[in-house]
Amino acid sequence: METLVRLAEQARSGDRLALETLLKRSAPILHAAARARLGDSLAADGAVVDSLTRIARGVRGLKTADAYPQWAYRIAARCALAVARRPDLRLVDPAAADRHPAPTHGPVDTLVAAERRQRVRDEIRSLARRLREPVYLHYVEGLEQRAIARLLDTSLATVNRRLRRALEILRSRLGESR
Amino acid sequence: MTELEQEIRSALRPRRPTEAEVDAWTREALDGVAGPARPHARLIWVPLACAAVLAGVFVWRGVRPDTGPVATAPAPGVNAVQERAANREFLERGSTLIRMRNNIGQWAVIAGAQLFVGADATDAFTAAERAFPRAEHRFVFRITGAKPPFDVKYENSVVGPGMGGDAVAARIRTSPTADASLQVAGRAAASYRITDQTPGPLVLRDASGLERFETPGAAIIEHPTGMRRIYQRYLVPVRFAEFEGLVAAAAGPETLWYANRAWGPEPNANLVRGRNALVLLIPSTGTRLPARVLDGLKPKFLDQFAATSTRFVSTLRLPNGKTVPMQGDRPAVLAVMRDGVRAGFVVLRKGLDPTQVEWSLGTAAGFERERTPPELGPGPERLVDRRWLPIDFARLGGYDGGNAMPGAVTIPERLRKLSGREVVIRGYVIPIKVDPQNRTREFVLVKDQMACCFGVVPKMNEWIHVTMKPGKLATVKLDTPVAVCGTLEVGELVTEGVVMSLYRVKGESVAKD
Repeated sequence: METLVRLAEQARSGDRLALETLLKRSAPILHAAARARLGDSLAADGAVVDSLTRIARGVRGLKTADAYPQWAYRIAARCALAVARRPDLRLVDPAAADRHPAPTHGPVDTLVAAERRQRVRDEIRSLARRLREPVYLHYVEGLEQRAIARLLDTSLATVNRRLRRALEILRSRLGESR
Repeated sequence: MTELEQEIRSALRPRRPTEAEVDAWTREALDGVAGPARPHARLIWVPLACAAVLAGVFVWRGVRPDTGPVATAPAPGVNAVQERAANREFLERGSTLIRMRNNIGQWAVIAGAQLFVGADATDAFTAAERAFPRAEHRFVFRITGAKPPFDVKYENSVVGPGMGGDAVAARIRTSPTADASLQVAGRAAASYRITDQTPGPLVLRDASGLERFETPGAAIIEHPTGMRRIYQRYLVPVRFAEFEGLVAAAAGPETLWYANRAWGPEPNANLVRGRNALVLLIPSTGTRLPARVLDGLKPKFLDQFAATSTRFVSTLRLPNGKTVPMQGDRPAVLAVMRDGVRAGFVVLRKGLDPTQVEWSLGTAAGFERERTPPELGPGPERLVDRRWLPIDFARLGGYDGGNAMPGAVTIPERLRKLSGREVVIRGYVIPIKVDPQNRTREFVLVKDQMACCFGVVPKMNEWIHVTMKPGKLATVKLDTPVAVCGTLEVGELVTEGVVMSLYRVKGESVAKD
């Protein structure tokens, strides 16, 4: 995050190279943000390009470089929303992620494991957005709680609480099917 | 890390952007901005302001830029040569429909009154979208039969406000006793399932059986969610006894109108009599904008029909001079074909009895007899000596195919009753074991070639495991439909916790269809 802030500071002052580096460093986080909203990697790609374009246009108008992570995250979230509203959006079936299933012992195990993963995906998607976002960012994108708090512009305690709550819900819903 | 957390990571396995992707995105984003400093960027407003002033002057003086001909108006300036050319094109287009017999198993999309055929729905959709990117309605159907009247499975896919890309798939057969299915797919993820069919009215009910209504039709349909509204809107009621030939709901010029009109999806599909007719959907009122075809997007054979009025009418004047009052709040346009057009569109309001219409012009007379595809040759009927019960995959697969988990599929009782019956069924052979003489004792029978080798993976209820009786062998012909006679066994065959098959046949004989 600090690197991003530093790069943002340089980009604000018109450093083209810094801007390019900033965009490259931001892309994975923006992708994660879009994915957290859309739940679909391919659809998130489009949102990332839009986000980067907006960031490139607007970074010079940023009041303070410290606000860059939250600002960029919000842009990515808005772009994801715009993508989600596109009438021609076709989300890829999450089952497509099972093209490389986890090694199992036989076809039955593969089938059961695939169904279980599908169930987990469905349950995560059904979570409220404020709970789903930290789950994606933490467990999928591997961001630490502190970084998530910074991105979501909230407190560390809130992020921890939401993660805990999301896990509780998932555990209660998924536990029954075991 | 707990087991649940590991499961979450495993289920949501992220597709992290590669370095090359990030580079490409960054380049695209930087290309999207014209450099860090754009001191003259605001000058763009100068020509825009000028254009706005000029447009205002045009409007003030009553001059409008040409946005294309009014869709519903007849084209007065069309001379005989142009008309003949248009007719020829239309007939060629009609031939495309007829030639669909060559595309069995493929998918077709009608958008902008044109037909696009593809190996699968996505291909056909892509082609349609490329040609008509602004079309909000595309009608997708799968060509499943060759013999007229066509057996067409079609989907009415609506991408519009409030509908969220819902799609309705309907399989329509033409016999009073034929199976039929209707399902809502797509993002709505609801499905309607036909559980029984009768020659009587079509009765719809939800899974709980709470809501029911009747409409002319011939099936009983269940749907698991309360999305009856969508169903009602998109149901194309077909009285099978009258249904004849290919009926496709075409967006036509409306596809283009929708872009400019406040339009609530309202099908105007009707009972249609005629061999080859396209039913155009009529946009609703509620807008004062004239219906216009967007510049450059005019369907090529729009000139083929003309409306009786350039406005939407509340009373239809039929070609025989009678007038029919339009009921309800949805006016319609009656499109009358011009002289010399041998096949055409029929646009009627829902509820209007087509038998009351005297089709003097542009009647849906269908294509000439010689245009109809030749008979396929003797089918399994020749084998029917009151011993073999003819069944087909439409009958066997007319419910949710589920998956290979035990208990995932509920076989309807009407099909279970067929167990033990001697049946004859058409399909394509996928051999399991073949001897050197190209004969097989055990094979899988699938409904079409799309389920074989490439294309769509058949559902559990869309294939039959055939084992020939001792001493009987079947010759393998991969791309030729066959008629299999044998004893049907219905029920889940579970092996090691996986359903191996729902239908099995002890084969007596396999004949070329």
